[in-house]
Amino acid sequence: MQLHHRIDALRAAGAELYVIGNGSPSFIDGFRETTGYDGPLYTDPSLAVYQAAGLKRGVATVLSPRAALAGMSALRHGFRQGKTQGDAWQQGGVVVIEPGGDVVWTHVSDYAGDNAAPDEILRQLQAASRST
Amino acid sequence: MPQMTTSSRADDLARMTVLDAAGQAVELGTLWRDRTAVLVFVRHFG
Repeated sequence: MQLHHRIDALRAAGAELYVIGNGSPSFIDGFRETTGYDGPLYTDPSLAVYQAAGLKRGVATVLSPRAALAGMSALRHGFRQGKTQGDAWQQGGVVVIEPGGDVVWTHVSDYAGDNAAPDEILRQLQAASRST
Repeated sequence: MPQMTTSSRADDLARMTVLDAAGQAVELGTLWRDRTAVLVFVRHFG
């Protein structure tokens, strides 16, 4: 189960999910068509935000031949989620930030299929909302 | 493996901008002004 399938649960826990990609703004519509995702979606073509968030390594490896081989291996091992989403949902990482600017969760993906666990993030959000 | 950063503030990120589908700049800090933001960075686009 990937994170974007838990949008309702995230909202119930008081959070909103934002997807950030790294292509031209004109790719945003294509991403929506490919994935069926209709929530908030932005892009960071310069990768400046990825870098500031500490995710640059996870993104840069996509561009290397070694990463391409790892990606193929991941596909063979069943990480691919389905025809309509597949590669498009490969995470570079997840960052959870609370109002006020505290970073309460960070996950940097090291390889294809290394996605943040939605349940772990939800547990953390629910614990935070109970404590306030 | 998952990695937790030691940095716990998003002050630098808050001042940075991303683009919407129309190419308009959106200040990142607005995303967590009122509620917790879960930012999912994807590797590819399209």
